[in-house]
Amino acid sequence: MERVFATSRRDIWWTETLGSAVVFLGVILYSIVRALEGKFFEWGPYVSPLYSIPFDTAWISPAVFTMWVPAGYRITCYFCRRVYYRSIFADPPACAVREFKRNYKGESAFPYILLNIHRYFLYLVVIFVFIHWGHAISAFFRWGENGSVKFGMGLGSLLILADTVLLTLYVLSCHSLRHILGGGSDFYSAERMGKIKYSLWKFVSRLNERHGFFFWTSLLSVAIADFYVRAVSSGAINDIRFF
Amino acid sequence: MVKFLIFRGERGEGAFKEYEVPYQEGMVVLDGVLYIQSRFEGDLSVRWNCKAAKCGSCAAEINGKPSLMCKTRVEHLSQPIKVEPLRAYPHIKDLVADTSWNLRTRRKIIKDVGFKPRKDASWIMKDEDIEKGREFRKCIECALCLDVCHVLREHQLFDKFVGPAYLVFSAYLETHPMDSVDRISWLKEEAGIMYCNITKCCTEVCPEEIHITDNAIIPMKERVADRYFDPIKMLFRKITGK
Ligand code: SF4
Ligand code: SF4
Ligand code: FES
Ligand code: FES
Repeated sequence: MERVFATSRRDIWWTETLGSAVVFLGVILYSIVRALEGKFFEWGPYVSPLYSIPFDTAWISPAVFTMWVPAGYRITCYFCRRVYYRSIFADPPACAVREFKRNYKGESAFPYILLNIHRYFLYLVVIFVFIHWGHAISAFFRWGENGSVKFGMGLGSLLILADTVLLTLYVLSCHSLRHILGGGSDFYSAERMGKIKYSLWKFVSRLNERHGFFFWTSLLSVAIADFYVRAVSSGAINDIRFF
Repeated sequence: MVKFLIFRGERGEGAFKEYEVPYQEGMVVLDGVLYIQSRFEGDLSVRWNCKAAKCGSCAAEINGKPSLMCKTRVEHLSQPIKVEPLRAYPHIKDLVADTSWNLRTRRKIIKDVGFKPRKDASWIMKDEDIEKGREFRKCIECALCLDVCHVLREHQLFDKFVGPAYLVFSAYLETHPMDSVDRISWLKEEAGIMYCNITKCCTEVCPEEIHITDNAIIPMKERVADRYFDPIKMLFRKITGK
């Protein structure tokens, strides 16, 4: 029982650990590469979700300005913490599997104690959700030559909309939001605005059960939508338009 | 026939021994273990009481997963079925581990931050007020979550961390509408809630399907964050004196 990764488990426990690591690191790597590339974020009606606020700077990639908010939000997310503690730091690699000997302090000391800042990233990311909805809606409109606006839809519109919906669900199912909106109360029937707090807490709690699912799907949808925008913007493919 | 590998030995020393037990429909691991005890090994130590997944005493590790022996059907398991004692705790004999830390911890919680009813409210409560606690009350203190939790199992921080089951218990007290005790600093300093790194192994093994991490631990961590890790809230409290 002394060896690292020793276990009596019979299932192939490392598939989940390894799978999570590959997807998680893959998306991080992709985002870094895209931020360094610093272009092909916009095309026609589309704005890539990696590039939420159109800053124009010559000396640094515009994505860097906006990416730290969603990145910080995800890194401090309770579910995401579970993902990287398990699959990157092997702390533990999986349940009932031996881990490396270390002076374990968990989240009671530096650096992981800093992750408690999550709620501040939540406040910031709420602004981003609105910006994303703006981009999602405008992805369905095209400006004609004489200033007319025409409704239209391409594959990109759908990908950006799907990403926006998933991001919204990811944020609405957040543990910190759940706490702020009503989870912090214990006596709903007697408190001021107790009824509202209770309903909000119930609503977020129901979504919260799927928080992990929304984490993964919204992580992938960002990369997929950005990849598509990059492809049409760089001219690699033509936008697939439905009407 | 069903093949079993049972850990035999005392105080951590010992080895797995193989046995064969006739299969019966609906058989659970505890049936096999008790058959072995009655037919082959009269001195096989095993703890159990209700055989109904309600007393929490038959906890053991079955094929490496902390489980209740009386709730785990053999037909779902790959053979030989490996049965060993809870590995986080000091071993006594065969399948029995010394879980007396659990009782001491519970008693200490009751003594230090036990329930004290509010004077300014009535015991007549609405459904929505007791909804959170309903889930926590299901805990049968089987210790499966404590056994699998790496803070206790791997790092052996029994003196710094009360463990998932007792965070469920604390969350029950803390979210009770009639409760008047302030447990926030206790949760941080004595209960060691920040040692939990929310990796959810406890939730995965709970036979009562309590969402230990999501519904008990994280909400309590958020309350600790309100007081200790939220600069704006801290400033606000300083100014208003609340
Ligand atoms: S929380 Fe679940 S696993 Fe832990 S002691 Fe209670 S019933 Fe057992
Ligand atoms: S979530 Fe926390 S309490 Fe539960 S097993 Fe993991 S570290 Fe232990
Ligand atoms: S807990 Fe995951 S986003 Fe807040
Ligand atoms: S014997 Fe009571 S829970 Fe298994």
